[in-house]
Amino acid sequence: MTTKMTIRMTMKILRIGVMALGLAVVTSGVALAGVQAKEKPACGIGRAVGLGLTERGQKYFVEHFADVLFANGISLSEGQIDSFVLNAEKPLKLDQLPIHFQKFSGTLGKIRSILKSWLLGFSFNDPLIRVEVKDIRYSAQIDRLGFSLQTSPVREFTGANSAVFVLEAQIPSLRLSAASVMGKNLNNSSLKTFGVRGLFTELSGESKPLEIQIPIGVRIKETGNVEFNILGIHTSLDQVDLKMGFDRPLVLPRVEVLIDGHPIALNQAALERELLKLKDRYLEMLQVLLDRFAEEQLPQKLNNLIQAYLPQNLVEGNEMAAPGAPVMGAAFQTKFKWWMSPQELRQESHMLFLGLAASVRDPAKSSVEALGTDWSCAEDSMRSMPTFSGAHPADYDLALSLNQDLVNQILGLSFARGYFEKVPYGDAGESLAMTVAPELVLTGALAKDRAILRLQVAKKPQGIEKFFVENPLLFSFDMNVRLVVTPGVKGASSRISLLVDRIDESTVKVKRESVKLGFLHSMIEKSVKKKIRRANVGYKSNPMALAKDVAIPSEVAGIPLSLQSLQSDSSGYIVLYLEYGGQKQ
Amino acid sequence: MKKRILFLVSLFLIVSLGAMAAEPIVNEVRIVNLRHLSGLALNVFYVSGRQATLGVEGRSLSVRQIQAAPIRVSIDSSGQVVIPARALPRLGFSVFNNMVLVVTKVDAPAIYMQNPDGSVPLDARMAPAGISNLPSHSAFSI
Repeated sequence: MTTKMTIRMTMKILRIGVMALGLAVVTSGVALAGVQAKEKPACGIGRAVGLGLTERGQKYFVEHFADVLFANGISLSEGQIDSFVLNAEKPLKLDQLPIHFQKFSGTLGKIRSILKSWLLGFSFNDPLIRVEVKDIRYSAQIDRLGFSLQTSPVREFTGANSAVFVLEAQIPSLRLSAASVMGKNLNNSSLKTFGVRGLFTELSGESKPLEIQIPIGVRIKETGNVEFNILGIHTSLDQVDLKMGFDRPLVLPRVEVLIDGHPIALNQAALERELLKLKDRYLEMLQVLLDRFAEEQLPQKLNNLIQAYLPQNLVEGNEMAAPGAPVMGAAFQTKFKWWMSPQELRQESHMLFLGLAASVRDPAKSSVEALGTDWSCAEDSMRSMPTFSGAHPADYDLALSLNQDLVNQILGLSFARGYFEKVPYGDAGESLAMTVAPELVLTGALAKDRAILRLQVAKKPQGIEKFFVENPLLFSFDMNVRLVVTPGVKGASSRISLLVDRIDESTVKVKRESVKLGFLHSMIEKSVKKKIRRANVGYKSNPMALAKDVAIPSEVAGIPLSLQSLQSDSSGYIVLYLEYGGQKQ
Repeated sequence: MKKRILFLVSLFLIVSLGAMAAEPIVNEVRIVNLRHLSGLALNVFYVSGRQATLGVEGRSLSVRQIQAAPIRVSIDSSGQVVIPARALPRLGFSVFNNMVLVVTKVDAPAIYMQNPDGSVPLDARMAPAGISNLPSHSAFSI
């Protein structure tokens, strides 16, 4: 049994979680029968979540990209790589050096001569070099680390779902070190290993800052299938002043001479002195080598690495507090699981839009197999793009659109747990029991802060009603609700409350099977409408919260956000207009 | 084997860095007012993690890498615990950005982690001694 297998069998897995704090939705009443989740992976909802970055919002990444990386556990200001192996593809011929190295042919020739003279006429084949660098570390002071959208088109990345971003850095201080740099000449194996230990190179104090620019092409081929392509690495390495150092002695071929059978080692210190006379040239060579390597070879090598290590499908899974969970026990309720996957990338006139497909499931109701997501259907019956007409792009950084289908999926899961079961009815403390999950409707000509909740309810007949209708009486209607923002205080995230505006009487429909005598259906419906008219008076005089203090996302990718305004978007989305920087106190 | 996990807290800490190229050092952390947890232990994980893309209520940190073997410190009778300063090894480009605290019994078995998406963070304890288990991050050949 392998070590890994043993570990798998014996380790106690601890699920990572952060204490759920705060309230979700306040409702009351007794649970109705739960709806069993279907035992198959949920269909990913297309364009479920949209992130629209305005020009103003994009500027944030030019100034604060390092903060975004840090929030995601990555730092580019320091790095460490255990080992790095460079295999030359072909032997190095002094008379056929690449153009940038031709000026060093004299230096390389001198090195060859020194070694030849010390190795007593040893004949060299053209070297085929393999270099292994161990424990590479770098530390840099990065004055500017930005990430921006490149406006000039790149042919391969001009189509749909494509964009080119540019990572730019200005580095006034940089130190690169390696525990050892050991080479082997594969065409002259008798030379064994040679090289240096404790190598470092750094920008000298008088040097200009190092500038690096890396354009990266991004294309979403299909949901979750994202291509990243480093299109080049441009540096100002040829314009900066470097200094270098390494430990002595160098690791050099050991030469022994046998005199009457007694081995006598030649003085390596002298060989080292000869080689170190060329130290300044080595620095120049290193500088050109790094520059050419970065420009000519590194992009492709990094692309190969990205290809090898990037998952086939980019899917993020996480948790969320179940809306409507009991207030006191919210922290101990099983959370819902959500999955998101990038689906589209659009460069609109006023924003860069990233569309994500998503689904939410309830682990308490679904089998493990059913917890996944079927992404293949994410584009079926996808809603049209959000209009983002609720605010001027100059007034916010990021628009976050939440598809009503996603909201309804979540409402359905909460309903199945029995969290939403009653709706206030009038002002006498009466309530109606919901028989199916409430459905949020945002399409149509609604005011910016309005939405419709489509409800199917049951009511216990009272008095004379009992003679004409079944128990319970089933009917449906649309309830107009108002979305009211409660700003967060002391760093807490903003919250939304759904206040009952009125019930749309014209949408009231009594179920025919609820009426004992069919010909009375119309009369019963009129009677229900009459009661609803009275209830509407109550809603007006005493605004009631259908759902209170629904927390809205307080961060995107670790960037704290504050809500500026919201919009009920006629394409079927709730759009939150957000500003970076968390809540204003 | 049964472990009593009382709570899990994620703290965002400021890492104090020494001279350039030095390993990051996390300052000593003193936590008070844990009287209700007296006699139990605090398991301290120094992790590199990423926040959820969508910061909805109830989301969890996704831990990519546990930067060093966790330490266990006892909560004293006055409800105070001192987490000593610690230098963290630099591993690839991952940087320590969260401290995860888990309360257990003092003699509870070792704790391992699993992310909400089912993935398991890279954990130095799960590699044979002296061998990095982080090949994809910290070593490559071209």
